[in-house]
Amino acid sequence: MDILKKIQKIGSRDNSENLINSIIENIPDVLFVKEVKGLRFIHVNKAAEELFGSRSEDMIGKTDYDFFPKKQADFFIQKDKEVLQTKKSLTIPEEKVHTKTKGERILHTKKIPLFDIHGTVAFILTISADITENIEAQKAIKQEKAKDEFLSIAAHQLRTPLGTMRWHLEELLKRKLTNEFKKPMLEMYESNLRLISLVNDLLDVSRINQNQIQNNPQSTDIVALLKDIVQQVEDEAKINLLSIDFTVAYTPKPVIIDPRLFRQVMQNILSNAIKYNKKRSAIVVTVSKSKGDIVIKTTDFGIGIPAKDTKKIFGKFFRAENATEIGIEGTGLGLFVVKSFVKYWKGKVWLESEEKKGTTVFVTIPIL
Amino acid sequence: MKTILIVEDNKQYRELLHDALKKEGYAVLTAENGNVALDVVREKSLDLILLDLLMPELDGVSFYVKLQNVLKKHIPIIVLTNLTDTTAYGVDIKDVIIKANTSLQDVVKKIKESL
Repeated sequence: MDILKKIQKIGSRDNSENLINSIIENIPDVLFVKEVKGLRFIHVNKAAEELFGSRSEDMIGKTDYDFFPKKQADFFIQKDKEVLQTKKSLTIPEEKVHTKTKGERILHTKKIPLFDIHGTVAFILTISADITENIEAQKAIKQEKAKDEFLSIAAHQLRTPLGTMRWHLEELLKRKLTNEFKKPMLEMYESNLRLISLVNDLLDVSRINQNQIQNNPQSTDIVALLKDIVQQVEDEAKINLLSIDFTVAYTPKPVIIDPRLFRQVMQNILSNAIKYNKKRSAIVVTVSKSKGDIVIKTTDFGIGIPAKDTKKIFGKFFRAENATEIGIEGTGLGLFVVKSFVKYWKGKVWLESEEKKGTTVFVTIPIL
Repeated sequence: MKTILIVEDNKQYRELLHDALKKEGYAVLTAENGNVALDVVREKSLDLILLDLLMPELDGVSFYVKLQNVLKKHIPIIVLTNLTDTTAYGVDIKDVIIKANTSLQDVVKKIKESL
């Protein structure tokens, strides 16, 4: 059943003429009709008035040459002539149009021949959608993708030399060294670990942007995994004269979680707790239970986060003012990665902090 | 004495692993790509393979597939790589170590636990 019959059936008094006018005037697409003789405009809708920056009464009776540069008008006329010759409708997927008020726009256009009772083409109906924004959005997505791919390749390449440097330094640091050598080498090792975690952050962000995070949940013993993670960062903590106190107040049953994502989350949090802590201090990690959640609390006694920054601290590339002032290196990506990853196991992350006193980060995992 | 084969194209990684494992008292063999490694597997009796993924000539994944027809007994295989998502490369090996993210000491520890 056609649309007119439908609306008449439910009680509209509109006739087909009203309905067609209403559609023509109100569709967001540009619509105009030219008569074949002289290819002059005989009707122009509101969207066309807006796009071309001319009023309907000023356009009727005129041709493309009155509104567009000659080259452009030639193109429009040529397309109209094609419709006249073939007597078939024609699609122009993308055409650039220079408009008076909106500058250059990209249109997706259809031209349709309208026939008289003798079967000859009497009018040409043109309908155009302004796809400028779509095209620009697509371009931006492509550029973003290329950037992320480049980042991913570069970061993987960086890992190879950073990894050998790390192992060499570890081997050298095992030897008996005089302080003259030991101190710079420890600092080199520290910088090396920082660079590796920077590369990891960049890789994570590029994967988050590309929606390429691999989530492989599996039955995981959280306490054992945490022990392993804590043990892994202990060397870095020792260099900063920090002890890590790991307390298990609640031993959960295995949970279904991707251990690699969880590891990355805890590594980022612990890396912050080391970086922003006081020297000769401690980091306290506790596992407890609150309602239906396992809660992992990580506390440091360092510089803390200014109250005005706590809301933004999980944002991409954001760094707290006091951290940059003191000159601690960082990318502002670590907590962004944390926030993005905890979602994969329907967990939460938040923090409590006081400047110059320290920060506590909470991560939750729902108990099944 | 247990014998370990290191399949790794990067000379530095190969030597670092070789020296660290020698110190632990293992017999250590090395191969710089999958093809060389296949020859070693055919000739020698091995207890564990350390496998890099991105290598010239025959990469780690292709080597792993071919290995299944050559191995005489089941032995542990530990993938050592700098790639993030090894699953994307079709590797179905549980033990994956990201080299840059792991200390040499922890790699050795993992090997000891697997043997």
